[in-house]
Amino acid sequence: MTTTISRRDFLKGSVAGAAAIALTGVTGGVFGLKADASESNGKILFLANTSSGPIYDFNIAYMDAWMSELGYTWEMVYGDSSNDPAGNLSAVKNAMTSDVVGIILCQDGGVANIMEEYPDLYVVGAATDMASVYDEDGASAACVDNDHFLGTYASGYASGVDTGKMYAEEIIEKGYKKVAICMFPSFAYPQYAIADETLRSEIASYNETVSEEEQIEITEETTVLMFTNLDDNFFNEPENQDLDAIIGLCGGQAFLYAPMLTAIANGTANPNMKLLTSGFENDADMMADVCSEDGIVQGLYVPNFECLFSSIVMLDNALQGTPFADYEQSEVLDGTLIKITDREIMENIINESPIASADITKLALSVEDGKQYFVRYNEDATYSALKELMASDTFTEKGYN
Amino acid sequence: MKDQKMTGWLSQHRSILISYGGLIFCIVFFTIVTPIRGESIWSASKVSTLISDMIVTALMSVGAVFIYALGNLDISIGKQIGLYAVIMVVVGNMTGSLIPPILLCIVLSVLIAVVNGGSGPVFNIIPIIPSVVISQVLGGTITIIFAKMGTRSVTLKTIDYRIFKSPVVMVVVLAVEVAIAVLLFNYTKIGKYAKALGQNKTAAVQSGVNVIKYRIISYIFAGLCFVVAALFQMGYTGSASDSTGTGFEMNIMIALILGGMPISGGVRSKVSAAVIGALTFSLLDVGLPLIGIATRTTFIVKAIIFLIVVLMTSRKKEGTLPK
Amino acid sequence: MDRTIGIGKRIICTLMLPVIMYLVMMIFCYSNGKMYFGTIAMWRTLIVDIAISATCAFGIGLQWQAGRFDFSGGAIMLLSVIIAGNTAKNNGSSILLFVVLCFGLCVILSVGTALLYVYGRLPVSISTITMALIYEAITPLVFNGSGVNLLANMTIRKVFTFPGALIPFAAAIAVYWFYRTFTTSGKQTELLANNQQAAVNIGIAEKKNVIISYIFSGMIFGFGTMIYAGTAIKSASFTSLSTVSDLFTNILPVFIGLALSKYCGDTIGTLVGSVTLCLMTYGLKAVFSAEMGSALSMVFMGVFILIFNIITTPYGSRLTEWYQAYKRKKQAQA
Repeated sequence: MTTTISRRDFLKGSVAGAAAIALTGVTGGVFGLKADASESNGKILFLANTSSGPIYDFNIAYMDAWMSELGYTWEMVYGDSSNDPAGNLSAVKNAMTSDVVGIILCQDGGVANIMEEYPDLYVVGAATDMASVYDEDGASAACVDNDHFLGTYASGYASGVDTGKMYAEEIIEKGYKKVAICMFPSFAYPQYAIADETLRSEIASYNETVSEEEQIEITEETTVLMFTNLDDNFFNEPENQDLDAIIGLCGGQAFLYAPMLTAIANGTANPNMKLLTSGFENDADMMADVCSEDGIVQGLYVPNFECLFSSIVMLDNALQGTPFADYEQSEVLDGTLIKITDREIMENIINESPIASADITKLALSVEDGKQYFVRYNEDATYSALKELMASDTFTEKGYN
Repeated sequence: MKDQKMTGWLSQHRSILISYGGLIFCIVFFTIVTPIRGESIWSASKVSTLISDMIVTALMSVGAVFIYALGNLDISIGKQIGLYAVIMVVVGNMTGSLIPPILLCIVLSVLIAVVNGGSGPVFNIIPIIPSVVISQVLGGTITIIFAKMGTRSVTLKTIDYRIFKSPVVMVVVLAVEVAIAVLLFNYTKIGKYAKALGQNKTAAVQSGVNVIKYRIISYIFAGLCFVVAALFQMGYTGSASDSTGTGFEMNIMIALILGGMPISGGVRSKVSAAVIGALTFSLLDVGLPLIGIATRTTFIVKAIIFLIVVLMTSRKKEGTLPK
Repeated sequence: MDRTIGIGKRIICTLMLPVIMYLVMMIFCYSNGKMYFGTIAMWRTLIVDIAISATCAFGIGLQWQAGRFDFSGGAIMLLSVIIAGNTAKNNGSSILLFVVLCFGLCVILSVGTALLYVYGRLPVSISTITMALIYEAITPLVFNGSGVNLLANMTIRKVFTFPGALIPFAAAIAVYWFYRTFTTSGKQTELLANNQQAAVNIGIAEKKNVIISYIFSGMIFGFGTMIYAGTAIKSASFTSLSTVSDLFTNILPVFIGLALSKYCGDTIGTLVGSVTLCLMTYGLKAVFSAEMGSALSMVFMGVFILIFNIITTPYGSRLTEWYQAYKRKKQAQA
């Protein structure tokens, strides 16, 4: 059945519809608008690999503080959740405006595509080892020689060998006799595979020096977590029901803690089983658990969020046309680890650092003190000094007393 | 008399006008506002972004019109795109050319179309089941392929894929595909019978329409369009990952609805809905950040605009509730 | 349920599928050294998986029986869990608050979908897609877009781990069965699905029926959300209709339920479907790695559903038709 409408009704309808769309757009624009910086040095894009959690909250607060100090505007861009190059490129393209001068990337999918699309853009990595750039067969290997690519810092040690040795020392020191290893897949985190190998060989070497009763057993197979929780079947395997500890070469609090809790509650795991892992969750119960007497997490190794400082320095120097005199080639720097191995350190981190709270007044390196590392504020600033800072205790747990 | 003719024409083409109206409004709105905010949406770089943002959705949607005209939903499209993209990269790297993988994808798309389009009427099963099954099977297959390769993403090594990034090539390919689709849809039995089956299957069957044959042909044409879309999706970065294609069937649904396509198919189906809807949605994708709307807010703005458009194009005024 | 079929046959036909799947998976697991298949530990894990699968299937199935496919169920659950979970966490991890909010929000959001359908007079798929888009778009705006992580909340996790998960599971089954068996609305649903115009002509209040059905599906999704909260960290949705794909996986038990409904009714049939598919997934994941097992179970599940539907299609199995035609031809030749 057709409905006849008059011209007037049609016009009314069209105007109403257009007005509704306009109102929606304007309303969204008003509420969604960010403040214009009428005079700024340009805009920085921040391609995040997470949209929630303590690191996300910290990055927003930190970028707000530094960008306003340095005279840039900035915008958070949400990277592809699977690090798909096409997804990352699309996200950057949609956010790109004529005033964008630099980008900080927290994941490396599509780096080469982004740099090809925007050859004038300065690119720096943050909390990623940029494996696709620094591996010989990497998809973005061409970026190594691009002078607009400014390097990166890893989330923790750049080399898995150091990570493996660290965990081996902890296992031996804590006296665990039977452990299992869980890790993120090697195609996403190749250094974790190296850490796994190193850990096993370190323990094997240790076992050769002690009696049989003192030897440490590591379960044969490393469990690979595809960015989801440890499967409940893990604790149904007889060999995993009497573990002293699990080593999490992954975001252990997010993906291991809960299954371990469940298994202990169900009686399918050693009630005294512990977790040594990395990452940081600011859930109150999880924080209360870390290094407490009966807590499951007895070692937490957190890549300090403040290491973002090095990326900002590199980017600003390049954008200001004042690179370090001693800077030659982009590289992957070690990120600094906060090693939480006792309750006092955890309390310090909760109360005296911005890790849990994103409180910028509690930075280990304040904005004022950090200026000395920028060439625009200090002509004598050097790349070596920046690297020394990253290797010093400033960003470790000692920086928050 | 003239007024009556005008109102008759207006009411017959109401939904087309409103869907075009949505697109025209977006064009006018962003043309006026974006330069005020800093960068015009019609700057060279933004036009290129717009075209690259819409091309895959538009190519898929043009093919999907044939499926939707039948009154069917196909939720396996995203997985098909993902599979074709990974085959193009993997086989392309093995052979050094894109021709063999494209041919392989064409063969696969025909097989999938036969199962997807034919198994429903042949085995008398609930129509949505074949696409759910294919989605499951292809999804699992893609995961297995990447698990076996020990990676989550594969990249073309030696083949030059820059041609697929050219906006001119994109527009030309889309124009050719649309022209072929319009020809088939409006001037051949394929389109006419697809619309007839979507409008009233019983009447179409009793009129002598071979249901199985024309369903399969419709799905085959759609499948070929999906292969072309996968080529451009892969060519965007010269890579494919295990998440390539995720959610694309939903993008198609949104684009077609936004373009004024009736979801139940039938005689009011039109190829233009694909292009209008894809372009409108891409304008919103690219334009909203340009006028300063934070990324988080763009989703609700797009959702509200979608609501307004569907209330104007798809509302049934009288009778029982629409199905 | 067809009560002319004998009770024995009904029980056998109902239980045949899960029992066969159990035996097949048991042999498969034992032959690969996974001897824990069939133990209490397995059932503890499996029951939670079945609970999620079945409650989602009930929620979708309730509308499916009425000829409506609800695309918004996943978005309703996601938005509800984010709001309920964060609110409960910020108020002393109150279980009561969490449960009430999950339930209440799901009902309200579900009714929102119904109101758009009824008063917007949009086709049901468009209505539900629109509401899915809107609800998903709200998730990045609430609580700073942080989603919700309840996995390690010692208090709230009692709701979604064994044995606490049995309570919302049982409640969802009860609500679904009650709606289908005892409510006028539930019985009118079939009339509306089969011949909408005739049903309206004989006086069925279609709008009231739709709203009531969405209230009940909202209640079921509410119970499902309480368990769903424990499957993984729930992130806000940054991709349009990202919640819909999960829904299509959860519809598979509904198809099995449809086929088994003549033996045991669709409530038990859907439950049986969930048990069958969860057993298959569990067995495959036990033998292969979690990822590979999950991928293989998707492939097998797809093929299984296709074959199952070909045999049991409600429109009359072609295989039976062809077989009978073949028999008649043989008889004629003889």
